[in-house]
Amino acid sequence: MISNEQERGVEIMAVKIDGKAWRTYEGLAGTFAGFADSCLRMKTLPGFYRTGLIVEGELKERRLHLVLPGKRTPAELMEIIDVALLNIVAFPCTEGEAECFIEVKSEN
Amino acid sequence: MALKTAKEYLDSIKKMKPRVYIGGKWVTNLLGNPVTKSMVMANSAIYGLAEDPAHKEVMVATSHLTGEPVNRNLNVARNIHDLDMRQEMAQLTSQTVGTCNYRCVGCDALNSLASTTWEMDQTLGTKYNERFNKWLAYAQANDLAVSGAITDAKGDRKKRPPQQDDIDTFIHLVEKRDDGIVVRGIRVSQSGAIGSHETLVLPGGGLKEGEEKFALAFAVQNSVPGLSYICQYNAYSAEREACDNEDELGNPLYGQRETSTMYFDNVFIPWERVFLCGETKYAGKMVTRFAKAHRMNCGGACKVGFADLIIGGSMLAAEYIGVEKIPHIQEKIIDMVRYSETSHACAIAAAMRGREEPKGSGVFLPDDLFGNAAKLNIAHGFWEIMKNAGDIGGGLVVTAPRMKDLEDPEVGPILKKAFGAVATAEKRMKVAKFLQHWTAGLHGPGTWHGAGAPQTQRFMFMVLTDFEAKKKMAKKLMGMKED
Repeated sequence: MISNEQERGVEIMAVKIDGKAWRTYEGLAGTFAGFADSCLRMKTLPGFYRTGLIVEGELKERRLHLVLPGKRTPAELMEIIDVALLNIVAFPCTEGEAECFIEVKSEN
Repeated sequence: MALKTAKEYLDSIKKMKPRVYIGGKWVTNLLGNPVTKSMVMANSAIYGLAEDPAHKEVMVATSHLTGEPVNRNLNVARNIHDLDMRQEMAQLTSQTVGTCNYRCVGCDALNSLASTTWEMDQTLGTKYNERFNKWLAYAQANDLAVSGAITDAKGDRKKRPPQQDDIDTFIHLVEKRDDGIVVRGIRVSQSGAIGSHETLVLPGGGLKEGEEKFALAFAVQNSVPGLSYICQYNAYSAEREACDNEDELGNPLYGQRETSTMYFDNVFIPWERVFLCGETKYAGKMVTRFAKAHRMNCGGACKVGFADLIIGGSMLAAEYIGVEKIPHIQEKIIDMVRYSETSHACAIAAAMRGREEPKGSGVFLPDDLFGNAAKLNIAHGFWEIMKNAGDIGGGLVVTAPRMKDLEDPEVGPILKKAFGAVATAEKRMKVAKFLQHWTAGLHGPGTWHGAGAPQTQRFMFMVLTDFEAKKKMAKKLMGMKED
C-alpha cells in the first residue's frame, strides 16, 4: 500500500537521542540516504564538514546508528542533529509515520 | 506553509552552513560577513516582495501541483499570463534590490526541467517528470530559495568534455549506486547559491553520444558535505569589508552581484533528486529551454529594472546641479529610456508570443526570437545607458571623497562648499556613489555575459530567422522571378 508520504514523495525520519525518542523530521524522499552517506562515506554531518565528527556509524536497512566523539549532553546532541538535518533540508514535523530512524549517542 | 516571509527566510538561512570561502577565509556565518550578508539580504528582500499586497499579482502564483499559492520563483508557467508576470517579476526584483534576484536562475531552470522531463517520460518511459514534480512540490511547500548552476568551468574550449586533461572542468558522473549517484566537477559564475537552500544543476550545453557521464541534471542541498563555494572577490568586496558604514556604498544593503565557483567533490545525489542521467539527446534541450526563459527574464526584463534605477539616479544628478532642462541632458535621458523600454517591449513580446512546449506538457516557454532580442538589445544598450549616466553624473561619479569625510571638522566644511549646488553636498555625493556602483562596477560585463554572451544570441538570430522568406518577399516586390 502506498502511504501518504510516498505519494507526496517525502519521508519521515524519527530521531532518538541517547536511546530516547526526541523528534521527527520530514524530508524529500532520499534525504535519509543522503544523510547516511554524509555520515558513513564522508564521515561528517551536513553543515559541519569536519571529518572525525562521527566516531561510529552503522546503517542497518533504514536505521542509522551514530556515535559522536567526546562527552556531549543530550541537549548538545539535539542541537547538532537539528543543524545537520536542517542543512540537508529536512524540517521538524508532527504528522506522518516514520520509516527511517536515526539513533545518536555520545562517545562518553 | 506555502509562502515564507522575509524574516522566516532569514531565520532559516541563519541555520544553513554551506562551506563558503571568500577573500582568504572560510565564512561560518553568512550574516557575519558583510559581503555574503549583502547576498542574503537581497534574497530576503525578494521574499518580502511576496508579502506585499501591491506585488501579489506579480510575485505569487498558484501551484499547478497543489493548487496552493506559491512564490512565483518556484512556479512553472502554465499560460501566457504566467510568462508575462514572470518577466514583470524580473523587472520588479531588479528595481527593488539593484542586484540579482538570486532565485531567478533556479526559476528558469525548473521551468526547463518541467518541460524536458515531461518530454523524456513521454518518449523514453522514464520517471524523471514524476520525480521532478515531487521535488518541486516539496520546494514549493517549504518555499525554498532555489538557485541554479549552469556554467561548467569548460577548460580548453577546443576540446569536448571527455577530451579535457582534467574532466573536473565539467560536472560528471563518478558512480551510479542503488540509492543515487556520485558527482564531481566545477561550476562557475554561480549567483547566490550560498544563501539558498538548494541548487538546480543542469547540463552546461549540448552533448553527443559517448558523453553520457556529463549528461546530468539534479537538485542538491547547498550544505551537503563535498560541496564548496569559492566566492568572487574584487574591489567592491574589499570596500564592503573595509568600510565601517554601509551607507558609504552605492548599493548599501544589497551590493554588487555576488557569485561563486562551486566545487563538487564526490557529492552524493539520491535518485529522487536526479532528473537526467546519461540521456545525452536531452542535454541540449534542457539548456536551450533554460536559455529561452532566462533571456527573456535575466537577459531582458531584469536589466530593464536596473536601467530604471540608473535613469532615476541620472535624473537626480542632473537636478542636483540644475541642468535637468538642458536639451542635450534631456536627449541623453530619453535615449536611456529608449534602450530600456525597447528591451522591456521585447520581453513582453516574448511572453505574449510564448507557447506550450512541448505540446501536451502544459509548460509555457517564451518566444525564443523575442527573448533573444530582449537580451541582445539590452546587452548593447546597457553600455550606452551607463555611458550617459557617467556623462550626466559628471566627474564626481569617480572623484567623490568618502561620505564620512563630510563629518570631519576640518575637511567637511570644504567638501560641503565644493560639492553643494542646487542640492546639498551629501545628496550629490550619495547619488555619485550610486552611479559609481553602476557605471564603474561589475554590472557592465555582468549584463553582457549574463544569460549568455551576445554571440549566442546572434547565433540564435541566424537559426531562428527565416531569411529565405525575407528574400522571397523582397524578390516578389521587385518583380524578380524565382531562380
